Amino acid sequence: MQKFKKIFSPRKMIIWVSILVLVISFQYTNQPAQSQTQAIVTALAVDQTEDNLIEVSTVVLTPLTASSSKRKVYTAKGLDITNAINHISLQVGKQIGFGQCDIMAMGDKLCEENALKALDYLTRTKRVGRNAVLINFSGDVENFASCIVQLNDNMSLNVAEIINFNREYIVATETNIESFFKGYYGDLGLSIMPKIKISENEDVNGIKLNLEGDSGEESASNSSDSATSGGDSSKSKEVYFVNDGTTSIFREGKKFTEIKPSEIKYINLLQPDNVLGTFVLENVNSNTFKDARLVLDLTNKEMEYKLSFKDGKPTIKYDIELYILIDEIIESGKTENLLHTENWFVDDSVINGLTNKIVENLEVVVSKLQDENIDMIEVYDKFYKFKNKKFTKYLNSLENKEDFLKDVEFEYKIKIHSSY
Amino acid sequence: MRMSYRQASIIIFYMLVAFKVLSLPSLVYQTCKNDGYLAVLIMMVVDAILLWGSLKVLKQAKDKNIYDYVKQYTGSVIAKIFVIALTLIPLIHLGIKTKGLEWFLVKNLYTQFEWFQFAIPVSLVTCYMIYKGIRNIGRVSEFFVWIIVIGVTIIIIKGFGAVDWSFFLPVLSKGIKPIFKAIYDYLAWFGIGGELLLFAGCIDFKNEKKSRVFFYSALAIILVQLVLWSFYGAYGIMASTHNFAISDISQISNANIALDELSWLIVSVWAVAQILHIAIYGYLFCRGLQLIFNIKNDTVATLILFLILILWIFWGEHTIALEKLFLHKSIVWIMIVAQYIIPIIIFAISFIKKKDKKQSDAQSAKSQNIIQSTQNEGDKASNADKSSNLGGGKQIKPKSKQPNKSRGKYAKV
Repeated sequence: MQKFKKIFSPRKMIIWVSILVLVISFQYTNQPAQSQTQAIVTALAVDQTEDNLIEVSTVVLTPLTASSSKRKVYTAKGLDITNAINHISLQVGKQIGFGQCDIMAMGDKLCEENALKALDYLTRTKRVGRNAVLINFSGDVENFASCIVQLNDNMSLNVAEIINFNREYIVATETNIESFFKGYYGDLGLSIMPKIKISENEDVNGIKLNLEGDSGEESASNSSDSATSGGDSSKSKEVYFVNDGTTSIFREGKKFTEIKPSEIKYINLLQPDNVLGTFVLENVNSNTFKDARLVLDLTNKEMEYKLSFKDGKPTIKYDIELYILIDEIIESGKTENLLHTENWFVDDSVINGLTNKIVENLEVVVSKLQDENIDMIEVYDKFYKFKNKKFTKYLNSLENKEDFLKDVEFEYKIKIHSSY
Repeated sequence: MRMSYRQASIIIFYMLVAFKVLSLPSLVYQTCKNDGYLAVLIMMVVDAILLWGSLKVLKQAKDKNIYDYVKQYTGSVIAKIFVIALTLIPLIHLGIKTKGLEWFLVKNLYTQFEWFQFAIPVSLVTCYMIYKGIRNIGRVSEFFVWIIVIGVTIIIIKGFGAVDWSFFLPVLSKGIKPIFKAIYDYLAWFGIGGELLLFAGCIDFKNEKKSRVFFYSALAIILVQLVLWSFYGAYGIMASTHNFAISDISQISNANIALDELSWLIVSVWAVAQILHIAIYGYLFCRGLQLIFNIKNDTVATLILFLILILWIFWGEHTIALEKLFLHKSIVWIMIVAQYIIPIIIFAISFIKKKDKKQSDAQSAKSQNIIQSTQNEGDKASNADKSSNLGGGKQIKPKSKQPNKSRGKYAKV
């Protein structure tokens, strides 16, 4: 007993603890590095094929040296996403890790079928970050993934940054997995995704890219190396990466319509955050301009709204103040008047013309939203939060609560200032 | 060795914040939706009020441990039952805390994590801290407190950039019922009044400043509320899917990106703070264990805790029953009895006895005055008789304190 006490005395305990720690830690020294067992996926594109298979294309980052790496595209098909990813895992010979995946793209067919099943799988079990940007694309899955690699490696353009620009200046709301879920699980089940087109036809607003290899490979074991540009010209293919600001609208996880950028511009006037936009006035005639085409830049915006009920129906009054700058003047004759700086300010005719145009367009766009029941301007949220009792009463009076937007009345008061 | 009043105030701060900023926000959201912060606020205020009662008892107990203190009024059987009930609280809290820390590390910081890689170092560190005594835990707590406060504040500020304040409207749209349901369901995550009584005899009230406890309690309530507002406001209806509020706030995308690296450092500091939490609850458990089984050897109590921690983590790793255990109704009722009813009974006993003592003190003082006045009159009479003999009444001496029976370092302090 004395000997036992001596061996396990408090002073010697530290030696025993050190030995224990060493024994535990040494068993990990003979294990391979994680980079040898795990493939890092930085982007993922998924779509459904005509024969109802799931096609998955992944951009896999392969470390070359300590400071350099190469991106490669691997594509596979399967009965479901798990199956397709398992095929890619076999191609690469590594476990597929999605922790660094910041782009999650879904093809049109899958979006129309049900976008949520892919998202649910990837966020639930594959640890795809909820901050990963979501993209709805049209075109071939593998082409889309190859475009991501081409843009990054040859043009230093990050697709996630392009989409973040859309978020900042076009849709004025987050477009990542988290925000998609928020919309889906919200009361109305509405979510949005920016739309990217991969077109084989020439598009002047798109980025022209040369992709290698054949598209639409049938075998799950096939893969294409899209990391390098050029190569065999007979196999290269021209595609156009088009981001024109189109936004896809989802209800209950299924895509049901698209909103054009020209419409989003007016919807954004009713949103508090977005301040960027341009307006065009045709045939402007005033003391300064004759038959001029003016491009006006929105430099600042102040927006307030008031909620009320008229005869039991919700009414929302928007009070919008816009600060406008003349950006471009296209006149058939000489624009001598512009020599005088006082003419650089927007005059009354421009203000009146623009006010009328904005109100007309707002009415058209909002009535379209009402007809299609798309609450992009968060009318439900506003009334539910600030006029809860009356709004609940109004909802209860409807046969179908989902049609609440149709009876909402909109009023607009637009005030335009020159910001020069 | 006892801890100072300042250290006790800081440990109270740790205990108040301990369970409120990790998994609780998402759990409460499932029941209360956007009113979740109200459930936490109500319970934290209740806990802060009970905390004052506990401190009064601790002050009154002076050198006595809680068993000896209760025994003098109720007898040994009831005192033992009370101590057993009080010891169950830190055991439950240890379970929640170790599981929470393990999940936090496994889900947030590492992709592969074996249970023993977590269990052995955490158990060794915390048991060593416990073995070294409460004053050492108090000192470490003192060192970390402002690092944690500043760290959590930075995370809150980062989250505030993404907060949609209208998310909290309308207030109480579903009434008050969900709030009380959430409080009942997640009662194991609240409470301080009961387990704090196990600190009886550990706090030196020499430099008592009540404002200090008030300050740290208020700081804890404010900090937790800010975390909840930041978390709920940023994640909205998705809050229920984010199990680690404090670290998930730091991952909100549209906040200042420059803070990203810093926030991960802060989240790691929070992991260190969780080890401190385990040490505090481990100490309370060891103390209770020594009082229940009359264990005089501190090493034995620490080794029992070490084994419990290892088994607890192993069990938690290999079964999902542990997560459900804390939501079980029996745990809720243990918490109601041990954390709220027993302390209130002890406060009541101490209040009544204090009143009785005051009355008896007043009576004894009165009788002493009568004796003195009689003596004075006698003196006067003897003076009148020109007698030179000095006399005096019997002086009443206060009863000398009985020394504590040794119950090991934690019990004896």
